[in-house]
Amino acid sequence: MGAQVDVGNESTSRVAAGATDHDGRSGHLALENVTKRFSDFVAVENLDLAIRSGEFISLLGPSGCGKTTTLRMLGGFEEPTSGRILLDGVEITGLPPYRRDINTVFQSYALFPHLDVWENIAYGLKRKKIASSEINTRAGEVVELVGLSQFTKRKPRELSGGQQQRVALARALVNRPKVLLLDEPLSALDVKLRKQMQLELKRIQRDVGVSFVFVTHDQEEAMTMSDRVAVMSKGRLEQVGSPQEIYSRPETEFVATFLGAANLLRGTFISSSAEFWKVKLANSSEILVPATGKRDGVEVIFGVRPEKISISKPGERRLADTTNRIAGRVSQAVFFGVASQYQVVLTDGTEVSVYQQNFADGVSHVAGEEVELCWQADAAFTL
Amino acid sequence: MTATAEIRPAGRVGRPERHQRYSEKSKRNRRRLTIIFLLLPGLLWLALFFVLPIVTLAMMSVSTGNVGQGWSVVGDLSSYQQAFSGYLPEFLHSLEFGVASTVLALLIAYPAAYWIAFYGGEKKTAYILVVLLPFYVSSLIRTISWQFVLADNGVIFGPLRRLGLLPSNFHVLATPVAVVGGLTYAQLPFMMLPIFAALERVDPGFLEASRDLYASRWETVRRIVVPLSMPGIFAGVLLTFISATGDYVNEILLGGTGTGVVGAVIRSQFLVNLDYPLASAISLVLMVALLIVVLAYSKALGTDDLMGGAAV
Ligand SMILES: Nc1ncnc2c1ncn2[C@@H]1O[C@H](COP(=O)(O)OP(=O)(O)O)[C@@H](O)[C@H]1O
Ligand SMILES: [Mg+2]
Repeated sequence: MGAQVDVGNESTSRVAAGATDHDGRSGHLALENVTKRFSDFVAVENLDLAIRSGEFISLLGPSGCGKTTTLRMLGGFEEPTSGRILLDGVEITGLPPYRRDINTVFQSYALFPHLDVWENIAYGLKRKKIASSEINTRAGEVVELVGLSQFTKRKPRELSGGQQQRVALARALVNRPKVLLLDEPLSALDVKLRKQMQLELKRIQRDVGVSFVFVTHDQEEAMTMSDRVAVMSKGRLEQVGSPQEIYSRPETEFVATFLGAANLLRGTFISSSAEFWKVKLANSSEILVPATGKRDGVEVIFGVRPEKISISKPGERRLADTTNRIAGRVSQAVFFGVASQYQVVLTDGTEVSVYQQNFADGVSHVAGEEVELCWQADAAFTL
Repeated sequence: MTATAEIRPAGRVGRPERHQRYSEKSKRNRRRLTIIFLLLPGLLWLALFFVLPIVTLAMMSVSTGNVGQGWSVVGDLSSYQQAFSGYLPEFLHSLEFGVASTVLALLIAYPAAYWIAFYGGEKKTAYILVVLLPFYVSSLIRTISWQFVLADNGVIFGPLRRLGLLPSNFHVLATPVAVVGGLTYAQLPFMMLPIFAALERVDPGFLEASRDLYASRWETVRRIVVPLSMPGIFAGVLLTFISATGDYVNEILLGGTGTGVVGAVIRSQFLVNLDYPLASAISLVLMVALLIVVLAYSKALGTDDLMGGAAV
């Protein structure tokens, strides 16, 4: 509680009007080499991650990769086995949850069932012994912010899933934490409501300017909502970056495939220029890949996402120097409305998957057809 | 019970519909029969072991006569007059002991149940079995052993007295303290088990949420855990209070002069004095008194609290 400074009107307007002041903004959270072991099982290993003030960052990874454990260490519900956690430069590693300016929206919401919406929201402020007039203003503001004004007298069980989710959010935000932790808050909602809440959460985060650490196993959700995404696998941090970065320039095979479909191909290194490496595929066609990856000896592994490849009849296109072109034969064409997916077998037997928008009715190429695949050299990523 | 409500389709009834209506009706009859059969054992049980004894008791309480020549129901209320005028101290003792041992049992059982429920881990069941262990021994034996323990020259006070650490007029046995102690001890599992069951159902996530929202451990217990375990507290208090107030074994074995309880009076009027009408009248008065206390208690708690917030 020590660092919680409450400056009545000024912070009131922060919730209402939104924080745009980049200077002096707090909520910078740093994990330094954090490891969490449960007996001999390593749940989180040597995690280094800096969360910037006011950013929306997602922890993304498959179930069991250590996202919740990481979040619980940030919230103070688990002690790291080793490593440090700093909030605005001050170490908070050993502090209990109520001594951190961090609040949590729990996965199951954990709304107190015997208290109504208003009492749930005011709970934290009352424990902090805030004056009741201020509790009323502040709780009133967040209730407004999350659109629950008509429901303040209801018990949690009388609310829909989406409304419960808003109460959980309001109950955390009303304390004006520097950082808000959210553990898969939307996973219990149906798809439509989920999309709506994604946008709304994002809006609220912008309005209040608090750093959000958002846990999800849904890559699409992470990409739509986040300023940055931290991809985790088996307790380790794989890559951190903006959604575009991690999607377009994944650094590991795990990141490449977890974020969406990717054709991973292998080739032998031939030569390099400033931007590209020339690589020979197994079918002896030569192509260019970005010169960004790690290269052990001569083998180069690179990837191209299916939507970055265009498919056409051989010789149909004029191509720039930096466009790769390889021949293949369609083995399968699947129509799914807005686009079609083509499986193309290269002459060496490698299978490549291609998405293409349906310009005409139905698929543009049929199984058995000889085709040419083209993509911009810089649209690929080298691992 | 809604099966007894007749819901007939309105309007004209064509042949296929009529056919359907008949089968609906027979289905409904069959369902009603099923319900009656299902309720039958319970109803019989209630009639046999609850209604019948009470009616007998009520009739006996207004009868005159004696064991040798039999009793006749004459509507004589003198037993009630006697019950109120002659045994008020015993009634009060019973209530005092009942309340005191219930409060004590609650204060002891709640923290223990709390600890087992939230910190017992995988050994929870083992801990509960340990709590119940002494209760595999007959209650009479247990109470008698308390006699030995609390006796002036027993295992505790004997040595202390010989060492001169106790004043000569120090007694525990044959005082209200011993009675309340014995009652508390005897009621402990009946207090603890329902509370434990209720605490087990409190999501530990609520405790974390409360700590996240700046509540101390104590505040979390007071504002979250206790309200949510209210159904268990309610059940435990009822069980303990009712049986402690009616108990006489502890008073007879551990009490002394001036600790008489109403249960002991009923027992001696029935078995020693053979004054059945008086014994019946006192029994009924005790029952009504308990009923009033219990109703007032559940009213004071309110339904919402009782349901742990699960009611409307
Ligand atoms: N209290 C615990 N004791 C033992 N193992 C745990 C505990 N909490 C989590 N784990 C293990 O740590 C791993 C990571 O769990 P978690 O952080 O919940 O994953 P995620 O949230 O990414 O699905 C899992 O394999 C889980 O079984
Ligand atoms: Mg999780």
